[in-house]
Amino acid sequence: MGNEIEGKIESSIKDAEKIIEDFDNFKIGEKDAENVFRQSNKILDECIDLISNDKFRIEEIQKRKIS
Amino acid sequence: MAEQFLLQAEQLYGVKKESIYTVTQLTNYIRKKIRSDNNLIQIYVLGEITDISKPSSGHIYFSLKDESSLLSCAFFRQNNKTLAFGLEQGMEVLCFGSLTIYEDKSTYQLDVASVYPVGEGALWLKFKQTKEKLEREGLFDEKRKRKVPAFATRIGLIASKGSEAYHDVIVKLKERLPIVTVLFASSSMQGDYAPNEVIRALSILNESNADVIIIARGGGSIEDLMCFNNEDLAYAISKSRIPIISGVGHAEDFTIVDFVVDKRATTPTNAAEIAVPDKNEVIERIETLKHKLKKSYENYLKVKHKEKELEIKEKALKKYKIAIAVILIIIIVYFIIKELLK
Repeated sequence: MGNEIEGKIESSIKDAEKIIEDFDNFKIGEKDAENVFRQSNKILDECIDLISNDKFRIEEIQKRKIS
Repeated sequence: MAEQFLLQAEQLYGVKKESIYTVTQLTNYIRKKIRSDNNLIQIYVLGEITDISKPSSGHIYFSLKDESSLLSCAFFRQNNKTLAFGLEQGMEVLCFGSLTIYEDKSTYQLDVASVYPVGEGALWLKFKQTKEKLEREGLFDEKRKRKVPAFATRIGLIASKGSEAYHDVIVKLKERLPIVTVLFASSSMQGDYAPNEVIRALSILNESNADVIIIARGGGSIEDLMCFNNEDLAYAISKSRIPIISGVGHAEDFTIVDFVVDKRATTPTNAAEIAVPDKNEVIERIETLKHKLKKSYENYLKVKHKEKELEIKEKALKKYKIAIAVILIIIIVYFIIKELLK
């Protein structure tokens, strides 16, 4: 079970954690470092945006299908 | 034949035949007496069940006993088929029925119309027996249960519309994760129709793309929550494709549904808390990660910068060493030439 948002957030968090590890172990080349950092930061910001927008709604499904 | 014996008895012993009962006559007389005595029909008798037998006919035979007496009882199929619990040896019960004669043995017995448990209440007894049965069938096994997702965004909700439970779940879901879509299936959550309505709602939600289903109902008496001890409902929950969280009653209330569901919440509000993560906690987690990422990147740059500085210094030192070596060689050569010219 899972959904798109959960997938996006969980994978972004995992990716960011891996990038942190790679920075700590100097596994990222100097040429790519800035780009990798900015991209990861951007994706994390997108995750925050994804769950911050108020899109709450209620669908009453029983009436639609039963009545 | 009987007439012949009666005449013989009259002649031999001088007892008038009108004064002599046959066994059947006496039995019939006693039956009439019993039937005409209001103290022996439609009465309540309290006692402990003993010598119980349940033959394949569907009738139940047992005796009621107390400290000094025993009473045979017959609980016929037509009367016992609606019994909400199983009769067991040693159970203290209140029986309602009428005294009758069992002709074959000329014994009297209570023709039982209904039985009420005493001590452990009927509802509790029913709950206990259903729980034991479903537990034996493996419905409560943790291995069978589905994993409740950590980040559900489509929540199936079964509740009574406008109820406190409905309100509590909606408020909490909105507060914690305002991107959620609630797929609401209204149902009675109390009374005889409730189990079937909840089963129907489960069936509909199982056709949806809900990540998780919440069954929510506020607190109530044991009688109010009895519908959540329904066997058919328990089977329907166990067969659900989508994980189910129960939030029925208060923390201290346990129903059969609570044992079968994939996750039991203590209240409807708690069910919402289990179903979705708190947005603020997720954001905080991401912000912490961003901070760590920044720190790691800055540290990376600092180390790389130092490495460069060190490299430059090493290069300069190398050049300096070469220069010294050249100068030394020149000096040495100068002195050698000078010596040769002497």
